[in-house]
Amino acid sequence: MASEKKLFKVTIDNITIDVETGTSILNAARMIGGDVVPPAMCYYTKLQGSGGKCRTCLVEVTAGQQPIRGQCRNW
Amino acid sequence: MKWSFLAKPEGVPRYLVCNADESEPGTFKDRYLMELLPHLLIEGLIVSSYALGSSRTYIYIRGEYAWIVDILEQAIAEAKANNWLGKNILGTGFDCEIYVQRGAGAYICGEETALLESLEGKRGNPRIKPPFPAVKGLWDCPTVVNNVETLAAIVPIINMGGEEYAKIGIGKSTGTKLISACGNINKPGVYEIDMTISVEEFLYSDDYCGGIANGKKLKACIPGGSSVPILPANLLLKTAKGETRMMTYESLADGGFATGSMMGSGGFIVLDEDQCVVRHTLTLARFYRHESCGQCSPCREGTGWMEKILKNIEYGKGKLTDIDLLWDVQRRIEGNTICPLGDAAAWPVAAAIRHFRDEFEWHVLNPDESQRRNYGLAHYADPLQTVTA
Repeated sequence: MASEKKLFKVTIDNITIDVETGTSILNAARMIGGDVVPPAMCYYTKLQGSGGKCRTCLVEVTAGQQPIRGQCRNW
Repeated sequence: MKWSFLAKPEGVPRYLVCNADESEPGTFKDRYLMELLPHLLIEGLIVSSYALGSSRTYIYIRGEYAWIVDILEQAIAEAKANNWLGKNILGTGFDCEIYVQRGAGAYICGEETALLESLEGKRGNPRIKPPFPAVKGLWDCPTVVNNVETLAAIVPIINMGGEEYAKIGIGKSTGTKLISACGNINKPGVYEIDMTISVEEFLYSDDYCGGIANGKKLKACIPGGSSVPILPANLLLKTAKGETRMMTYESLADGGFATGSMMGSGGFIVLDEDQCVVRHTLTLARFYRHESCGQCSPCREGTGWMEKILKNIEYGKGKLTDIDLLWDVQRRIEGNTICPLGDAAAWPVAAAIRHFRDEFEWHVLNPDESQRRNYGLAHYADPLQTVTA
């Protein structure tokens, strides 16, 4: 599946970076690094369909559909 | 509605699924609708399938309604015999088959994505949304899941015309609603109301519930099935602003959860003065713990803890800090779960503590006495003033 190389801006805790479409919020936060990264438990990159179940990584989204999103599964 | 979200056809089949898994405590309207008027539902399904382009429609029915499956299957056979189902219905070129699928006793399968998982043959664990069923539903095809009452209401809407139907009721609460009234009332049963009557009329008039049984007084009521907040009598009959509360979506929700409740599933449960709110909340907590699917930690752990703490309070082993702990637990479940069962488990506990905190404290402070008698109407400063009609 060819992923689009289009970049768009995402702001997490007032820090803005460019990410590709399809990047989950968790991975975007990890790209920023440091204090911004939330804890995550059930997300395992190698297992397809993992993540989103334990609800450890929930964040608040201020401009989007749902106010609380599981980071490891939503993008 | 949900139908407008349905993805445009692109070579994948679309499905209509009727949610007949009516497991919400206090709700039994769909049962009687299907038992007594199966053809109303079938007709609604055929019309809806035609509108949505679904040629395979499923009725997912609660496993406990075993005899209703036979009734529905017979109705489907009758419809087929009259060429209202099957291939080339009435010469229109539209094919439709309705299949009835029994559930196996899980409340969680009333949640639409868990229902789809169960229909696909997997464990009834809710899916993470998005994607929503209208985009990726049954076998990843666009699917619409609707309740029995909604689909049966399609028939009068089409027969009367949408605008005529919308004239019944007030404000945004249009059309008729089925309310299954139960609890300590004189005439429990399913009532079809136009949403112009007040709660007081619904409760006390002989046309409807006929008042509280055995001459008792009203203590509390849950207007919409066990998941919605419980309301004490004074807030039930009048809103916090002093207006009469009507049986409409807006009026029942007036005041948010601080002083209001929700229409919910229309399961109107009435508690009289001899009922113990703590025991009632414990029963519900036990239900939700049992029915939690276990996928996400807030619900799985939270419902377990709520039941444990409530058991302690009810049986005289509670501490005052337990009440605050209960509040804290429910606060952390709400909104943090994959599906609304977590919210449904948290809201009754929140409402019970919010409105009946003194009863909880009485249980904690008087462990022996609370085993022997009820708290009664001591919650109300002036019971005669606030609770009798």
